[in-house]
Amino acid sequence: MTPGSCFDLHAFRARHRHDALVVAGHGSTVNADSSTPAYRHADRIREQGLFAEVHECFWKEEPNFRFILDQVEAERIYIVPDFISSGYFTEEVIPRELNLTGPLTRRDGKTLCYCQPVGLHPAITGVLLERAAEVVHASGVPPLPPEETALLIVGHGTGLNENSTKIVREQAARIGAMEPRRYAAAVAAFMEQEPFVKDWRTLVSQPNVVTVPFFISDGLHSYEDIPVLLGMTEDVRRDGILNPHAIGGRRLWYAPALGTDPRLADVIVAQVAHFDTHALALAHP
Amino acid sequence: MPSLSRILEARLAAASGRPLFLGELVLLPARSELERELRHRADTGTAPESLVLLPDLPAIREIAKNDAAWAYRPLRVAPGLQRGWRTEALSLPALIEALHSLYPSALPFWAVPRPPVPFSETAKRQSGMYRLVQTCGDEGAPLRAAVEKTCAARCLRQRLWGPGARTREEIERATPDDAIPLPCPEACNYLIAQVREEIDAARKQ
Repeated sequence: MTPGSCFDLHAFRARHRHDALVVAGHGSTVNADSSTPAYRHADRIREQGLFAEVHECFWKEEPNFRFILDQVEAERIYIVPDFISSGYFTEEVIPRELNLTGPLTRRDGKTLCYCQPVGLHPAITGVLLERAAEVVHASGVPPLPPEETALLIVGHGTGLNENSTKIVREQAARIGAMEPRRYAAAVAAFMEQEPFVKDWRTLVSQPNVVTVPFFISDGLHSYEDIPVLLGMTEDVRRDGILNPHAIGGRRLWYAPALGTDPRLADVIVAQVAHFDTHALALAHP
Repeated sequence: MPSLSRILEARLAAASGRPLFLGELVLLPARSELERELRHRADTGTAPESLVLLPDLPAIREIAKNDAAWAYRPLRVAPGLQRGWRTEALSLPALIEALHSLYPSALPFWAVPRPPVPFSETAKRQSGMYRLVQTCGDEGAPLRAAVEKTCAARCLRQRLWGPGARTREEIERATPDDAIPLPCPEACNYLIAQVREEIDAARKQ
């Protein structure tokens, strides 16, 4: 299932033609690539003409969360966090900076609809699976036999936010339970907590391993840290990803960060549709 | 209150077909009265064929991301915007999108003024690693140092808050008739991070 196929896009466009969408990302003061996926997703949604206005805002870049609503002219505004999980930013920082009182805030003639972060939408599982299949296809290798292939989903892992590890574990469990089986094993691994990604050789036993970083953008972790932990030797920033890698008698594929997938734009739109169905329906039963 | 679009539309009409400046940008008259072409102000008189045409919003956004030496510009309203480019003639909505992208928040800070916020108020709502900035008040040395190194040296916005702030009236009086001012009503997150670094550095000394 592609995220955009789960509802009628024409009806969606008609419903939201006077509304604004705000994509809220983290951004960076040092890494120019950090905000690129959020901008690309917003551009893709703009091109589709689904909203009267599409805006981006960031914690670490301009326009800051705090000031974004000043530039929005529409009366109904949907805010979708371009974050991989719920946590400090989506539950504390964004609501505080935008003066949100809950999922639905009405203020000064505006209706602010605060949607779930992009990473929490069920459609993200489909994007992850397509990403994994595409990285193998792009390497020129025929589709891998499921019984000989493991999917490794890599998260950051930190004691500060249990949700970010929970979502990675949930994705692994969801894919692992799929029938027919897409992979012999679907395993969550983390940079900074158990199970560690550096231990992937013992975490999975299959001869083929497809690895997808569950991150919102490419940067230090996906370009440098995780490749080293996996035993990849190329300079990803300079040379790109040279799939498949032959490591310890096995073949390993490595994908760019999940959040850079263009289909994330569809997931952002799907979060708005989800809000309409759930939160707005509750407000107007 | 009129919308941001209507306020900019009125300002463009008042310019009567003359160039209008915003920081290092110039909004040049184009085919119709309300269409404008954007350039670096230093390229105002440059022949169009000598400039690179930026065809769409992503290209316009990209030009503001790095300076001419390809250094990242986390402060988009910093001096040092690249030269040598122009946009197509932009209709009002496209012009507004382009300006939001080149100079984030500049239009609303000018057209839809929000009251200045003292730094201590901005600091009060900080949490996590930035809670530390609550210790320096409205006049503390770390704030003064960060303002000096960041706002004064690396940003074209004019502060309505903090040490050495000016009033909106003072800023408007000092702005030439052919320009839109760049007021700054509240400390941005970049400045807050710099204040935190100043506090950290002072503690380590």
